[in-house]
Amino acid sequence: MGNDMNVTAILDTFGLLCPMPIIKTAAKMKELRAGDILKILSDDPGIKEDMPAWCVTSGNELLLLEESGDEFYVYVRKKR
Amino acid sequence: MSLYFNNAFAKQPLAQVASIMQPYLRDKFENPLTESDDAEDCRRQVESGREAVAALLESKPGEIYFVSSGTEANNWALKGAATAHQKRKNHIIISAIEHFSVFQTAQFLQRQGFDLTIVPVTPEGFVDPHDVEKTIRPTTVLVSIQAASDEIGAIQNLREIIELKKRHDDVLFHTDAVQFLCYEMLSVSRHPFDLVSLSSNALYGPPGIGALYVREGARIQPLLHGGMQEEGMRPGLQSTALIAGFGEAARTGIAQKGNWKQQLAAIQQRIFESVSGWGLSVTGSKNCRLVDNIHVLADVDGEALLTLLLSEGIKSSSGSTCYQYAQKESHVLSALGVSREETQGAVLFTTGIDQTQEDIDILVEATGRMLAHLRRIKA
Repeated sequence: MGNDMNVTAILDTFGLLCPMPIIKTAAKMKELRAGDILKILSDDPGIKEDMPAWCVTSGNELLLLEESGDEFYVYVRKKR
Repeated sequence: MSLYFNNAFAKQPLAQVASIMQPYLRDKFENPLTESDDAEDCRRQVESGREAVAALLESKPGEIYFVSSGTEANNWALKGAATAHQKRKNHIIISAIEHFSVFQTAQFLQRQGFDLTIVPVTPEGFVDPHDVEKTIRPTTVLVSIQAASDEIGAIQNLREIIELKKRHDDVLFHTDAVQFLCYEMLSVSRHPFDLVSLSSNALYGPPGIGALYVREGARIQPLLHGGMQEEGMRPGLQSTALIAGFGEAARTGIAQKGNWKQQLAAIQQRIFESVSGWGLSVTGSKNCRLVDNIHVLADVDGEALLTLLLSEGIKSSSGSTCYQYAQKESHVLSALGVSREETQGAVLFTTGIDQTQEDIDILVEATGRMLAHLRRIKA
């Protein structure tokens, strides 16, 4: 499903644990424009809870959270 | 006067390094990640240090991660690369004359199930890049070749080694440049290694701090977890003092490297001539060699020679910690084809920037005299 998305940028947070994937996502989002889609790569299971929560508080849109083995691919659209 | 010839093991930090560190040892102690004027000052020093170290390699500051030492940088490069890709790849390549922090880390990974290939070297200590390429497999995750040997000073052909990256771009290339960078240049834009290990003290900075260059996009696992420092890749409270000192050493090194190299090359040539006069030869190649390294295999007991020199205040070593403490032959000399008996005569002098011609006069005279004395006893 994620392969169908028109991804603007990819952020590799492999190896990093909470809160670094969120901190790096927030920083990367500042470089993007409204409507852009960021794909975040992670192997931290904590991202399954952290990213949806951050999207709610930051006002960004969580499009998809895919699991592939021990890895996670998260797609977030910048809202504003 | 400086009769200290153990500069490969530890260097005296520069005066300006000690000065810049001073305020951060006691007065300005705050965590650079917190919010206050002093913390902001610490944060500026940390980032200024990072920029200076990045300038050494002509890299981006964000590609420099501070660690505790060159040893940690080497451990992280190997373990971090190996574990990040272990689901798909499990083969590591190193040379036979790597520093123990690469050599023993690779052996540790081998015990954990990784495949290890150790590439041989020529009798002069050089790695043939063709030999490296022949050992690369689809499962190879990392090639680690030391830029210059801490023991015999051999400088590898980094240009040809990194050429392999063009044909094997899915393999990570690491170089341990700890000893190399004090007097030589390494630009990661021209030599695109993925990982480069550095040590502050090897550059006349404070001990207790080093760095690992990680090319943007190169994936390695952190060794430590549990903090946001160094982008979460190397957590633990940053030492502003040590980073400021490292940065100052890097800035001075960039400005002075050419002069230092010229000065030490002249000293090295002078000692090489004396070595010939003593009827001995320099270990390895005289060309493509670190300018501070003079390693010889004496025809007498090396430990006896070192002890006699020390009795006159001249500090030098056998070059191998293993030999010094366990009387075990050096893996580096073994790789060159040096026999166990010959190894017993190993003596290493590593010079430094404070040394004068007078210091060298004393070293040369005393070594010649001690050699003659030991030869008489042996006869």
